[in-house]
Amino acid sequence: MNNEKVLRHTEILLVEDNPGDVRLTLEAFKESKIRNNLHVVGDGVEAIEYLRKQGRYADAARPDLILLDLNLPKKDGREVLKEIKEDPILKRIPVAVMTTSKAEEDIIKSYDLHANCYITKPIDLNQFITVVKSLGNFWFSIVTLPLEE
Amino acid sequence: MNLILKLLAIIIGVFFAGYVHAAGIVSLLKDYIELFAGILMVFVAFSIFAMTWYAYGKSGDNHSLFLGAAFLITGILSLLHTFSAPFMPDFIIPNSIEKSTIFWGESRLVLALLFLASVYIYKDTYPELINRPVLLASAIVLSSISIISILFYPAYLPSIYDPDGSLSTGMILMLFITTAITLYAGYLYALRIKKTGQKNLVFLIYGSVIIVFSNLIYFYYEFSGLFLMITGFYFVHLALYKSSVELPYEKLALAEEKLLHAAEEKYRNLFDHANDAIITSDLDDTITSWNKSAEKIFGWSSQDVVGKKLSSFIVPPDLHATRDRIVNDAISGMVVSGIDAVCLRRDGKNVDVGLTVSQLRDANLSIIGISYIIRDITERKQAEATLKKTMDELVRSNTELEQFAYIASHDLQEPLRMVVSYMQLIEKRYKGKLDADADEFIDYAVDGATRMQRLISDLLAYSRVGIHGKPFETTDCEAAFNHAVSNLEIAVEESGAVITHDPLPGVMADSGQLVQLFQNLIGNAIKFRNENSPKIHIGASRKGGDWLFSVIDNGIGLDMQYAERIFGIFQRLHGKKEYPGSGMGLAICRKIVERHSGRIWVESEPGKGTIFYFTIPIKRGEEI
Repeated sequence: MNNEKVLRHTEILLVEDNPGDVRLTLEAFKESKIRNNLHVVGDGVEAIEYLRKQGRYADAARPDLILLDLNLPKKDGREVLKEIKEDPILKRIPVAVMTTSKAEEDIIKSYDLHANCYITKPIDLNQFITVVKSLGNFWFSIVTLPLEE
Repeated sequence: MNLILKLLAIIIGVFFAGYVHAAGIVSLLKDYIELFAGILMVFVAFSIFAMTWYAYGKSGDNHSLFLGAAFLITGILSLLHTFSAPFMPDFIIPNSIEKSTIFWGESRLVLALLFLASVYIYKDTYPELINRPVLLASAIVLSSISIISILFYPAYLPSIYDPDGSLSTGMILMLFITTAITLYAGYLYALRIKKTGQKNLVFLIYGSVIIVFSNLIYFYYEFSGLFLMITGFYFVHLALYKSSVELPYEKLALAEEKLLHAAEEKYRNLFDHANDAIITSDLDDTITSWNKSAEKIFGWSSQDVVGKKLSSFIVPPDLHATRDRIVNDAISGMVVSGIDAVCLRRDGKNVDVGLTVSQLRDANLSIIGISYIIRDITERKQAEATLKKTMDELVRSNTELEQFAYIASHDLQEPLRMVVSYMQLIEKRYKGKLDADADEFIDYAVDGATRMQRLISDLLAYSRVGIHGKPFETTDCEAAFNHAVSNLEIAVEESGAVITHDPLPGVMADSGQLVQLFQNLIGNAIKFRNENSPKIHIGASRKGGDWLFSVIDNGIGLDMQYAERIFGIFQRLHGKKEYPGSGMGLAICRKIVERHSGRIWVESEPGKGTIFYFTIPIKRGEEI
């Protein structure tokens, strides 16, 4: 357990185009009582801009975790994943693919592109909250993340 | 009328010949001519016998044979008559006019009697009595009796001349009887000819009448008598020749011709009316025959093409090499049949045909030409094309439907999730904070949405069986089984289920779908349990060309009247409150099994557990 880390708010980037889903995720995080700053971008292009601190995202904080949906407008989630994991600096950031798809090929593709994990969003709200709680617990309490440079 | 005139002419003619002869001959030669005529008569009589005897083998005509035998006897007796003439050397008893005449009389009488008897004899009368051995023996016996009686008991013979030189009463009586019998026989033959139409026998009548005249004038005009006798015998010979030699051969030839004609007719009929074009050519490709169907299919008439080269008419220019190859194959003995080809019609259009090409051989079995049987298969080709088009349509339509189902389910999931989740959020946040009605409403809404969501999820899984099915590869069923059971871990634990299995084989399958199959079936077995903890067994055995799997449980069972329905989409036998589930599981199982070319069915009894059977074909190379 890394006690120092608990003090700081965790930065989470949520890449999700559906506002309904965004709100749900927010509520779930609220219920989970993980202290975090949840930043949201609506498509793949913005996601990359945010990560590279381009344009209006010049002051963006480096996320500790990226929650990435696969089906995004403009730039597809798989492409974003690929770009992140090929970038020497960005590839250290854990990416959790969060999507409704259960498709085998999506799972395999995501892991092939070096996603850190693949989560199928449960339909049931309570289950969703549990997942989010577990996410937070795992990535921020159990796991050791690299120090930011 | 003709008959009588002809007879008269012959009789008078011959009579005069004899008369003239007699008048102008020196008495010394007279004896020799008499001898010669006598022998000639014997010769004719014997030749009648010989002819009928030898012809009997082919003709089997008892009538001819009988008459032949009669003439044998007559011949023998006439021979003795000739040798008994006074100027001939004596034998046994001294020759005399009496001796000679007695023999003569006997021969005439015997002939007349036998002639009369022959009227009643037909081709197949009394086969036991009228055959060669019997008749020959009878003839010899009869002749012997006549000869012996005359030679050894001359005293009992009647005299011929009265003391005054005229014919004795006995002779006249004999002549009279002989004549009457012969004429009567002739009359009966006339009746027989009328009745049976045996025209050749008319010569017998000629013969008999002439013989009668010969008998009557013999004592006064010896030569004419002799000549008339020979003439009469000649007509008998003619009659018997026609009936025992000519007629049978004629009949045979006619019958053969008829058969040949009939066979040719039959062949012609077949050839002309065959539905397919039948064309024959020689080995130089010159057309030798061209039937009606060929005229119809190709548009050339028989006159246009016979004698010309086949290739120049019906073989399309670019297919000459193919044609040569086909013909060579046929000549070398290969079976060339049912080949699809294209031929050229008179109007320049191509026609799709089915070809059968074979050798034509002659009686010595050497190849003399080629026969082509050509069928217009335009209709068949069209039918095939339509069928293919329909099939392609179906496949396309099917694929489209599957894709549609998949996409629809996939895209429906997302908005549904919104409904379900937010309803649940409201439920969570505001339960108890609104009135009781609101709580109830929210409950129903959430429930409905959740169910719909599950339905769509299942529908998606169902359509994925086809669309996302992976190509088959060797799959270990044991591994698939284990995978499925581990997926069901929670249910297994909760229910305390005990799952056993036979050794499971390897099969050609989509491994993911196999896991799904086992999972659905075992999951059902666990779900539909009674108060006992579930005991489930997976069996596997070979049956014909398939592996037969069984999933046996001790659960609640089902009524066999629903055995088909449960495999339908969204079909359930229980209310949602009793057992959860959308009714899709077995439909997915069936789709998976059918994709693997297998069958799935159930055997069960309410309260007595259930057995699900399914088959998967045995891996190639492992078949018995």
